[in-house]
Amino acid sequence: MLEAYYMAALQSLPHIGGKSLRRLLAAYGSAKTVWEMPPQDWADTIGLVPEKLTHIIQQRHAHHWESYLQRLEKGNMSIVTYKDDAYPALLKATYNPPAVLYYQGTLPGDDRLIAMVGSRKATPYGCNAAAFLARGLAAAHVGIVSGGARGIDTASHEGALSQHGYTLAVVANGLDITYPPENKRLYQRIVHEGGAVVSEFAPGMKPLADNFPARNRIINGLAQGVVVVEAAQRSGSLITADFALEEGRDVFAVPGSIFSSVSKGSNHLLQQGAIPACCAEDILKECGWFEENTGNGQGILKLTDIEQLVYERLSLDAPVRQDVLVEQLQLPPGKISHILLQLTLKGLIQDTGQAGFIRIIPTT
Amino acid sequence: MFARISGATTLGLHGNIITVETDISNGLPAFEIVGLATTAVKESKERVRAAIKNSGYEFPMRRITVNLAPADLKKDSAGLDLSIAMGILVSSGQIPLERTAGSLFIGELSLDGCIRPVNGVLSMVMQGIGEGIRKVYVSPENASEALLCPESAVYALPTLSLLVRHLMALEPVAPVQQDETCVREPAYSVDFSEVQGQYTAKRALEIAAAGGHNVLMIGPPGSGKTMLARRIPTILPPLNQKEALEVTQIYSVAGLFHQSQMLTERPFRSPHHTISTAGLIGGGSIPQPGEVTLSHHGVLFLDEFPEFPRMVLEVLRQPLEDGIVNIARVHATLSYPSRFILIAAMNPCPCGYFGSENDNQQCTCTPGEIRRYVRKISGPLLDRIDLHVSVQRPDYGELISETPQEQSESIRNRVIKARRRQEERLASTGIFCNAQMGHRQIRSTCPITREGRLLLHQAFDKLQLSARSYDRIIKVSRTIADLAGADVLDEEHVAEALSFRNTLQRM
Repeated sequence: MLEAYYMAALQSLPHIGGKSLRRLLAAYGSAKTVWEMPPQDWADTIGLVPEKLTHIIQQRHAHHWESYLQRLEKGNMSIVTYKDDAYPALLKATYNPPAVLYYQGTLPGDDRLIAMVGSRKATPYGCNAAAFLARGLAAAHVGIVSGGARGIDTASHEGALSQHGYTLAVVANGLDITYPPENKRLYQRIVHEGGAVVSEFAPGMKPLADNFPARNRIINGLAQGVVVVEAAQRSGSLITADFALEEGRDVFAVPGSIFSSVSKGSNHLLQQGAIPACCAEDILKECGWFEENTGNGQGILKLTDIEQLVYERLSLDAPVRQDVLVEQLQLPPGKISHILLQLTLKGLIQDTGQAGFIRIIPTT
Repeated sequence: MFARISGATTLGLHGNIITVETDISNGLPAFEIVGLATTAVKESKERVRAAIKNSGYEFPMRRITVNLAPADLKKDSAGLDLSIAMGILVSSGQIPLERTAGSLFIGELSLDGCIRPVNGVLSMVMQGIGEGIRKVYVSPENASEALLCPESAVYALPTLSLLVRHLMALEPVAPVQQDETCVREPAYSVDFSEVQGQYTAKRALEIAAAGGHNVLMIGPPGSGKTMLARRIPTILPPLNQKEALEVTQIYSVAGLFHQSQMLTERPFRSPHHTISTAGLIGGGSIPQPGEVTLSHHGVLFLDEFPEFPRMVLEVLRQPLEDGIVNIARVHATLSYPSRFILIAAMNPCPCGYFGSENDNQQCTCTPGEIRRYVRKISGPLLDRIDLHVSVQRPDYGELISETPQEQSESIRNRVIKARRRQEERLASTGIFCNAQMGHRQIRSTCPITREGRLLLHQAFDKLQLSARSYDRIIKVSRTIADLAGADVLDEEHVAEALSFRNTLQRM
């Protein structure tokens, strides 16, 4: 166990990645030995230039064991190393997996995981699609891996949670920092529902821009395939898709409007041969997880006539404003609010805030 | 010779009758005013001297001492000019003392002897009547205002010399007669029927008017937030006699009263967001009423809500809670009434287009910017806002729609009915609208049906509402039920109230 902490401490030093760490361990046997050696002695093993070495010496000097361990304990963080059995097997098999992962919650029990990535500035359509796919996958007992960011990531996690499914968020900062701050509750729910929040960064690391590609690598590595929901041209989600191709993962893309700027990248992926993901079955079939009896028979909705009338006016693509419904149906606004609330509570529609109400597809 | 004349000043909204004592004795010529007079009163020496001389009377070249009693009260009004001049004329024997008995003189003097209007005449006259004054002498401009107080004989005289000739019975004038139409019907230049669409927002404002609830409107620029807010006074019940007098008094003291009749329209104030704390709640070395007081019994509209300085917004908490502002200064601690409906409007984000993007308009704000923008409004302040309503720009179809829109008058009739129900129900508690209810009144006056309770329960779990929002939702449901004429809160009342819940935190 102690060895894991030494490994984690080594990984938290600058310029030490998974690859260098593994090389050091191979050369000197244990992380404890390496840690206790002056860095000058092992610098040549991994070919460090002098300025990087100075950096490392400074950081190693500043490392304070007591506060480090306190932080881990306070944040309920656990450590898993690539030598442990619990380390996700798929990730271990990638080109450059992190030697150490910090996590809160429960690591996945099997490899049935799908990654979902997409724009942080997603449209209601994108969020709706992401949540729809995540719900379908979760219902088929497939775990969802995503990045915990705003937009598509959040919608994917929420979709999985609504089915009490397994979901895992990989973040680009230390686990003692909550980023984005409004997702604090989401992270708590993920851990509470038996999922996990994972990071390769030591506590205290801020969500720097440089950390995100590294995080995307882990998201990819953990999953069998990656679904790109909405991605603009030259976005991080496309980088993730490239990683996925290099690692031989399946790349799925959700078709978007040809006019929407946030769908340019995902539509481009489809042109290049990505598998279109129009429903959870598309993904399940490709991965060989599809079973006939995953209960896709939708329950008959028990709606009153007037609820049906309102429900039919709403669409899955774009939100409709309450005022429009009042004008079209010639009903008092109070009545419309009442019906909309009923439909929301039944889980059939969703309030997107400013723009109005949008249908969501119920999974039984 | 000695004379005692009545003059008046205001302190806050209250009038104070000042006894102006004048003594003329032999000695070197001098003119001294004592009794905590501020600069405006001290300077009246020069105005009074010139006015008496230029009106053709004699300014005595002896030792003149004027005392303003009570001596411990700070006097800050040029309105004492006329009473000081009268004191000098009486004590120098140019007017017999008995001719000024039971009279109150209010007015500023110009150097040529004209009498000028002053602020706060209504408060002064009301106080004077209470202290046994029967005749009031004011400038013609102030006459109609003084007349709003019944039981007084008001004489309007344009110059000092005409006043003296009246008092000497050389050229007597009759008291000013009260206008026939003292209380007239409020006339508004705007109407709700001019707003096409916006049904949800209109409904929210109707509920706000009926229950006295505060409202926050959120929407992109050009969605009609200001247009809607301007029309709120038109659906509020007309001011009753007591309220009208209070409002008129406030406007009189603030120097904003320029009509001949009592104010009957409910005030609508929309200060710019660069306003200072003192401007909003009142201030000055002798505090003047601020915007919250000027909107008493009416509407305070704060456009671009998050752009107001944080400090300024936080001082709104006391008036919103208590309906009164207490201002403490060196010379006086005053309280002004400030029971108003707060209508706040804001954009959803700094650029204004968050959540309503289309092909022409894209929100360019980062999530951090949006969060900072929304955070400018503190939780305690949001807790005092019962209705949150999103206002969207109408699309072309709605703009050109021929659908006839409801007139303000018919909305107002519903509001008046709902208010009457509230007054009856809350008569024993001393409050008169649902928004003012505390937790105890909510428990005793808001029975909910079983279906309503069930819905509330579901909504709390599913919509993740806070315990704090519970009371607000019940209060709004109570008003919605009052509008519908129902005694018990039903499912649909609760459901509608829930649709106006706070959605800001989610962004």
